Amino acid sequence: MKNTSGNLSVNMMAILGIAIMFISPIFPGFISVSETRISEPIPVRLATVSVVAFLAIVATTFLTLIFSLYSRRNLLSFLMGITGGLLPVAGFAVAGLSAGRLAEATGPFARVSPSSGLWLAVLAGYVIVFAAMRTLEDNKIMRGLLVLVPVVAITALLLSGLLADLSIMKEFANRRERFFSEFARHMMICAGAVGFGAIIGIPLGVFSNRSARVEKPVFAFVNFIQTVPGVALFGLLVAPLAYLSRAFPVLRQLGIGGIGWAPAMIALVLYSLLPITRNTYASLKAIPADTVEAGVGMGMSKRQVLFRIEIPISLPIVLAGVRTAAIQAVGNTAMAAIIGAGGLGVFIFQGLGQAAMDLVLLGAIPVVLLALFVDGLIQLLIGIVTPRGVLEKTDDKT
Amino acid sequence: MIKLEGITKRYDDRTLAVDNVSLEIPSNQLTVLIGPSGCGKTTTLKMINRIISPTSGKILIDGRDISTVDAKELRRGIGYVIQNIGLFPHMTVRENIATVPRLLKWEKSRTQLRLDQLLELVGLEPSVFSDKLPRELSGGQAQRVGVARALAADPPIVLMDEPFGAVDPLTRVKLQDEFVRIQKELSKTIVFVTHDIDEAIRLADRIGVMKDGKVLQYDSAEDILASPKNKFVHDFMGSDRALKRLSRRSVNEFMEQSKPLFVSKGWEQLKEVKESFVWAVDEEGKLIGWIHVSDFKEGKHLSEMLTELSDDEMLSAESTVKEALSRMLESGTMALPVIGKEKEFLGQISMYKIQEITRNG
Repeated sequence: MKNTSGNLSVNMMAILGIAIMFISPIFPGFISVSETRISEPIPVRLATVSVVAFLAIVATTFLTLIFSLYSRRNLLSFLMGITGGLLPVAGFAVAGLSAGRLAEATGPFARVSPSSGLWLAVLAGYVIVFAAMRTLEDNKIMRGLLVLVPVVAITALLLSGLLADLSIMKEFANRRERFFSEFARHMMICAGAVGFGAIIGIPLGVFSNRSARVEKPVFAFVNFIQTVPGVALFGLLVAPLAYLSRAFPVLRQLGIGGIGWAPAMIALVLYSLLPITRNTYASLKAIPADTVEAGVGMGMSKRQVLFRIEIPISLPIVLAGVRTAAIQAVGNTAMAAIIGAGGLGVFIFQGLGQAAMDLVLLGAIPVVLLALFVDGLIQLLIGIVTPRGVLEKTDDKT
Repeated sequence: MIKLEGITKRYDDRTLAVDNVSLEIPSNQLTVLIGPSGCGKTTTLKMINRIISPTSGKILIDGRDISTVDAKELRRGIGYVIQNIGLFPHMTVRENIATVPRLLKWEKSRTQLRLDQLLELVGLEPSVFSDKLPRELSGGQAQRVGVARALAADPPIVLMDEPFGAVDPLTRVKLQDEFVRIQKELSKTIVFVTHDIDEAIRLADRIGVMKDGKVLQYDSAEDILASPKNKFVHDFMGSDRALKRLSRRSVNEFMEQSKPLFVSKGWEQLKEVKESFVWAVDEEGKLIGWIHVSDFKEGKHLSEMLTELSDDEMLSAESTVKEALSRMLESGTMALPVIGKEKEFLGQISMYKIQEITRNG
């Protein structure tokens, strides 16, 4: 049980995050202005941009500090995480609102970008949210919300148009259609990878639990896959798939070839297998045999045993595996752009090629937000489906 | 009545777990199946609620062949407590106990009433324990919840497979005593599997001793102790069979009447005493000690001759004869007084009488 008394306590991790948060508004560059897309950026302090915003951010950071001192209480720890997570979002809002004014003063091709101070605020927000999550170990719903609230807030901000004058949003405006089509493609590849991963991985876990003869080779295989680096696995699949698509024209008509979505999907499905199979296996091992026998002995039908005993106990653990697989897939899909699978990785690699950081961010930021969103959403789901009695750590079973 | 007719269980790997067992298990009594591990006692038990199906033979409950009844319906009418309790870890105490009422689709209010009743019956305060989770319970408490769960829908039959096996010896004895009280109140037909002979003797009305899938002897607990049929049963009952028998007898069965002396009254009462000593009571009839008749001298007041008794030297009417014997050995006397709830003198039990019991059975 958590100590719920109101005693002051020092949450070192939260203090670290809050300390960084205090530095961010006084840092030499909160945002930066450059004359053109690729010229040298000039740093601008937050206080120079807006004194009101400066004071508001410092005050909110103080509030977060006060919450952190009572972070033994679940609710205050939660509030600390929420304010900590929303502070960088507020920073972006300030940057967006002032970008137009600053750009006008600099020149017709001027670009305004987030700078070190704002990125520090993002880092600080991360640390504070993480610190809050650690103290809320057994409240999955609060944990999920801690991630979801800032992610939804920043997404809403991006879509609101308030940030239109920021450099990255100008890149976005130039590639609006392309962005949405790659974003959709990214989502589809991820969902497909995790979906097929679950369709294959859950039965593998079930059969592994039933027979040791199945378990050994299955785990040898999925563990091996996990040790192959992503790029290498994509590469390894190129040659055999290219051969197959030449040999069987039907495959080519379906769009299956050495490059494109097919090798990416296969590799990503393979990566999803380990967490899903392993957690399914562990979840079934977590159901005590006595419990099932007691259920049967009291007159439960097979269905009732499944729905009242087996699924409630195992589902949270299976979902935790799906969560790991999904977060992993969001990131790995970005890599898959290398072999022409498309997705948000396209912007990252394009931007790297042109040394245009804003373009890189146009790909990278949505990938990060997507990963966080998926994480928060599944944690929330786990929190909702977890019966109170099954609070053992359902995170990673490694 | 549960009737087993020629029940045999042979597993797929040809091992013979239960070998042509026929038993008549009387209603409203507690029948213990006992034997070493692998003797087939648990298999026999689990065939009664069809967790295991017999290879051949028939089981009848109140004349009805259980293989003709839907297994789920059958089980909902039979309480079941297993060795490791098997509480559902994701459900509260309340939800665990309500399992069968829920399967039987009882009204909520009825279930609620029953839950509080049951928790009180097994000695758990409802307001404290209702919403606890199994992992927040001690072994003894979990065991009580297991018993309450089995009794939830008030089944006439309860099957128990080493229900007190997983708790420490002190808790076990306490649970057994409470269980005896509960059974006295409810008079269920109970089939109880154990390998612990002391537990069997403490609880059983009837005992079936099993070995290698066969029932070697099936008798009342007293008869088995008094006359074991063969060497195995004899050895299994242990070399202290005589003491075990005494543990099933209560003092008030063998109490001898004797007239106590009122200390407050005159010494003339001593004339009527034939023994060498006499129990002494105060004016309210409460036992206070005893008096040696040979200590008597004329003119001496009775209270001057009194030897007082400690509480350890008095027996209650519910004590077992084994306890009486132990107290006698401890205090080095040949007889001890028996008292009622208010310490009133009821009679005495003597070493001579105990020897008579062990000699005659």
